[in-house]
Amino acid sequence: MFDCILVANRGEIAVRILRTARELGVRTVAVHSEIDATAPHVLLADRACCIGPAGASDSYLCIDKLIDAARSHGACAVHPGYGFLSENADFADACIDAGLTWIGPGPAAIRAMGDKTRARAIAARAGVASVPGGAGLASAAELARTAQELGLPVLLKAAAGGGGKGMRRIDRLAEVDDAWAAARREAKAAFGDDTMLVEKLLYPARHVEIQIVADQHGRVCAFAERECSLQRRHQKIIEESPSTAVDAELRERMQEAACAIAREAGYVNAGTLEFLVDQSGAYYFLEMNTRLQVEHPVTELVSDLDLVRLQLEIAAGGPLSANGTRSAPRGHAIEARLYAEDPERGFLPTSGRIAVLEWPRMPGIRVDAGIHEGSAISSYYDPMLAKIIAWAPQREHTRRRLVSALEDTVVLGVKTNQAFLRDLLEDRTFACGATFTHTVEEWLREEPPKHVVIDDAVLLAAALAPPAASAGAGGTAENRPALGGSPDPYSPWRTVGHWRGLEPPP
Amino acid sequence: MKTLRLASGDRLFELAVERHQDACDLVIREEGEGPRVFHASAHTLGSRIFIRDSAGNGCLYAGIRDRGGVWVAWRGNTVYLELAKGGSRGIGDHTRASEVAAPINGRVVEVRVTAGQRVARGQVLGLLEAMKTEVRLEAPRAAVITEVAIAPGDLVDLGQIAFRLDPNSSEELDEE
Repeated sequence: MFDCILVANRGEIAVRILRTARELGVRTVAVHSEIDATAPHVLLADRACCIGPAGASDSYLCIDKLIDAARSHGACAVHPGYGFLSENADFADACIDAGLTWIGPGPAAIRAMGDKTRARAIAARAGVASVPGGAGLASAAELARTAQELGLPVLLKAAAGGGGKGMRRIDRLAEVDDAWAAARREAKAAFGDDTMLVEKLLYPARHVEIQIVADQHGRVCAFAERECSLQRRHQKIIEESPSTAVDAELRERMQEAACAIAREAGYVNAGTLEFLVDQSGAYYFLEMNTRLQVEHPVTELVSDLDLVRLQLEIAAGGPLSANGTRSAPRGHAIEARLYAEDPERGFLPTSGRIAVLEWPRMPGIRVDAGIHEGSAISSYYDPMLAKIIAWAPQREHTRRRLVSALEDTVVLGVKTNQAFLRDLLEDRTFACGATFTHTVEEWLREEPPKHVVIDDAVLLAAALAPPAASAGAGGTAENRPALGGSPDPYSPWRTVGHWRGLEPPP
Repeated sequence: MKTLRLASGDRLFELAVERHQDACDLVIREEGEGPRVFHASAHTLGSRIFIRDSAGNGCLYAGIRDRGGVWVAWRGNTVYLELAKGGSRGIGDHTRASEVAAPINGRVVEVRVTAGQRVARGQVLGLLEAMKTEVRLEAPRAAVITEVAIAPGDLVDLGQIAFRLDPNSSEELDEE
């Protein structure tokens, strides 16, 4: 195992990786931008290194600074997390050239699977069908022509894309010009590459994905599927495992398809094969994510495994103990993503300072968070604050547990999508498992988020609310809440809640 | 007794609390209605507030006051009640809005209108890019644009004025 690793990320995923490294006795180096000096991931690492100003392009995306940080703090391996440089083959190359172990797939596999056109060709060689369409496009006119051939609606995508960036649904030919311009602009800004392709939009369809891990000795292992159909603007909101649409027979076929594609790509380490499943149970390869995914905890909870630990063991040359498809999932897990956004105002990202924060504490609940009390939420980074994940033996039990956990969660200081998540989980559509990729947009059209009723008891609570400790002029020691906003005197959040430097700035 | 003026959407409240040991009387004056009194027992610990009404129903709240208002959370709901300044209407009243502000820090991608132009309610005036996603700036009402305060490529902050609207142009144009 490694002596010391550097985590080239921030937020909840950096915290997640650092925890496993500590558990394994691996020393850790965190990197941070100037505004992240007291962020949770920094407080958790043995060493920390400031790599530049707040803007990600000047800090978390600077390959040279990350390599320098790894070298100067004695790290021998780099974990990229997700987002930022995690799917950047040049970064993987730079780490390897600097003598560092890259905890992830090889640069060649990142390049091959990161290019949607090449990824489709690899899937075809592995005998797996992709979503119809997929040819590159040179112009809006070509897009219009191809869209007519495929039949509307179609989905315009950035070839280098992911996470819904640079993606547009086109229902009518009149929308082609606007969609072409907007999607290319977004793709250019997000990936520095505006190569576009178009696919047929399968409807109704479910988004089902298979997590795989592959070691350096030729073993590939697939886990139970995750269903991530609940999305808004192609951003996943709620994920679960297993899927209500997948039985044991389909699971095994999809796992075999995933393993075949991974083998064809010469893939090593953790990765996810995304598929669309139509109502007949036919599945189509969509794309591969060559990294750890946001929703990996649901797989961990139904398989009793630590995927980050597997990633480290594989990168260190260790063999997987299993090969091929795995046995049925144990119980049911559902994850909800808590975002700093305001559902009542079109889900615009919000910013501010977390004044009071409480996480649910009950059996079967896991919280992966990248914030603590006092954290400033800026618009520099991804607005996801935390993931709340529930596990129980049956789906309905898990669903109720997650609703209850969301009701126990308190985030004051920044608007979040918390109530929206609760309402979505409480909706009959979700309760009966009829989740499709269009479900959330449809639900929002029928039931737009509305203002919650403010009754007299809420007004009394407002009148009795104490002043925030860091609310500017009023923030003296005397009127700060005695318990730092947390009723648990032993909560670790208390100690970091009002984190300040010991010395005043020069 | 200190009073607190709070606004939520188009509701405006004036609140005054009278505490007797564990019980509270909250005197509520709401715009457009006569005063009423809410009687309940209340316990506070830091930011946690437990309230039991006279019918016996209890609920645990979390609340904190910052410079601009009060946050209250309960059972998965969170609201922010803004501190109202004397006489001013609550936020969210767009019918007389005379400016369009950036809803987030971001970069201006496109400006679609010029000063003097008549716009319809909901018309897209410009596009911002924030967190790699496009955010539209829309006209809150039918109006004449009096000033365009942003240009493509500008970095704008949350709350920065992007467009000004003629304050008197609404009625003649808004047909709804």
